[in-house]
Amino acid sequence: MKWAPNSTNGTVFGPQLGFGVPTDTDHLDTATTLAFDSTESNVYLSDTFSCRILKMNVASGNITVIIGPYCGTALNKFHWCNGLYVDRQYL
Amino acid sequence: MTIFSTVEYKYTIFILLGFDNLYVADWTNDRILKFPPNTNPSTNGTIVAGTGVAGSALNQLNTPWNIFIDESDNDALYIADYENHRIMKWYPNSTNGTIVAGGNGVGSGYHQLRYPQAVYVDSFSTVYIADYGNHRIMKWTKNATNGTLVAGYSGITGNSPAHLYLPSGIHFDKNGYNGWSRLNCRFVTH
Repeated sequence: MKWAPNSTNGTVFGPQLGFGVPTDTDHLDTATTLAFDSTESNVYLSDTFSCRILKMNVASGNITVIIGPYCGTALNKFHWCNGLYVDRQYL
Repeated sequence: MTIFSTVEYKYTIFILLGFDNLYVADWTNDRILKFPPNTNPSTNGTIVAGTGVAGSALNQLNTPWNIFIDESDNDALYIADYENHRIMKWYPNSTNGTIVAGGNGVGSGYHQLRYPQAVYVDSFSTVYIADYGNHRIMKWTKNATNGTLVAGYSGITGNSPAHLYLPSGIHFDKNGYNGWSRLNCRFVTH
């Protein structure tokens, strides 16, 4: 959900269709952590039990899967995720 | 005499350059993975903390929940090490971490944590913890051997503004901190 400051209701941002398996980008299985990139033009989302990370473009709403789907132990996989962080570099 | 404080330095000179490495707390594999900017599903991450096997040694994690990076301290990685009831701090390329909060068994003493879920660190290396199982927010200053209570009541839930119920996240704005409290479904500002 996206809530503007001082608003009394929000709007849905990102996947719109509620719970579901990771065969599309319209459904999620337990969205947990959100993190913006350094330009605040993309938001990363952990789709916990689908074992994937989604990248959502703020302006276009376009959603891409950047890690996963499906759980595993290989280095391009993870097995459930409640914590995400996108780092920033400062001069 | 000119006094140039650390505080002024950090708040006035730091300029954001970008970066966007993605860190993933890999819950069941007991490790933290780091992926480069513009990663895709075939990109391998690198293990930056944990061994892939659950444990309580200083090179291990047990159910890492949420994470935080302190870019003002050489990208130190902080981990809410949920099943170990402690907060770990790992510098890049380290073979083990150090315990910066908890690590004294599960409990509600001020030297203990109970299933911590989230951590936030300010530029003084003060660690703020959503101490989920104790229904409280704790603050541990650098090198402290115990924390202090900053929100909620130890082990007591409730619906008053002063109570928390399984706090699972914490984040600072420019003026202070915000936390959210899972089971009474609200966002609390202090």
